[in-house]
Amino acid sequence: MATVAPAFRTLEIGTKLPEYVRTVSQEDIIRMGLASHDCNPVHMNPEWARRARVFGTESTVAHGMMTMGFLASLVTTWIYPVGGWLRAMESKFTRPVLPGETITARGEVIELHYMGREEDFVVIAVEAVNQKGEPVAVGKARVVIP
Amino acid sequence: MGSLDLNLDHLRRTEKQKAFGYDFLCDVDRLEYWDGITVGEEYESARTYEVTKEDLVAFADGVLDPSPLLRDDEAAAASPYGEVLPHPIFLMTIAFWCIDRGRGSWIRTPGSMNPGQRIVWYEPIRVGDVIRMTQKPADKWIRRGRHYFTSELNFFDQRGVKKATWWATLILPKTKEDVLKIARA
Repeated sequence: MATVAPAFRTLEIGTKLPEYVRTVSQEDIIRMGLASHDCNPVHMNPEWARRARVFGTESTVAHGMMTMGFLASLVTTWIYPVGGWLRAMESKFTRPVLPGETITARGEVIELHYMGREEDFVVIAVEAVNQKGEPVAVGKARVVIP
Repeated sequence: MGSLDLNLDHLRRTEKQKAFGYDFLCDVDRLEYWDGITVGEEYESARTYEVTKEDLVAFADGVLDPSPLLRDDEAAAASPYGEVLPHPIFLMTIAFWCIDRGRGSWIRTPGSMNPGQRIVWYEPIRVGDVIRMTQKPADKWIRRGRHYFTSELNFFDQRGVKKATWWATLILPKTKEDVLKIARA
């Protein structure tokens, strides 16, 4: 497993990215809310979340965009040392992330696109799971790699 | 309407964080809901966003990404990029700021759920950029009893260069009554 992205011409389908792991506390969620300006009480207010049960749980939940942020960081940590660019990402959130959970983001190269003109890109299948191995997000990223 | 019973003032770091109202329950009767949204024309957001380094660093901290390229001028100058980069999801901060309590407030509506997102980045956002954001209600649909809405958000800098497009999707409360009910929980 390469800790940074290899040059495009040496990349192979099936190349796995190093895992990206984060544990999310309620304080982290609040800081994310303030930093992002998304202060929806389902993230910020444990007492309101307990009463509202928006996601069927009495807990607050982390921002879905925080999970997407982990998926993006998984990719950029791998490509930034070699001057790559994240061009597109799509994600689907399959399970809410609760405070105290540990999220592991993983990725695998599934497509190589030979565009030339310094626009060769790869498609990376990405996923995030919690500490129980339950999927919390799946998606794809399109990345230009020199 | 009840408001957030938390005081988060001591955690607000940046000038924009200090200026932004974080109580999403205080004016919930004005927030948008699924029935009230019409797919159609593109419109400008209420305000623009001037990108500062403290904004970029605060977001990188918020999303728990320790990369020096997102916060350290020396490291960024020595990199292939030459300057501090925004975290890719920094668009979220811009969107909430530009919408604030204006048109497009569905993004703040309590009771909404995030099913997934799609973003395309065209050009990097840089410190000093003044970003304006347009919104285009693109699709609204029902699946398995839930009400989905997608708005196409386009981000432009002060020269009119398009930086990114975010197809922002939420599952929304259907009616105003649904919003009020959950807000009063």
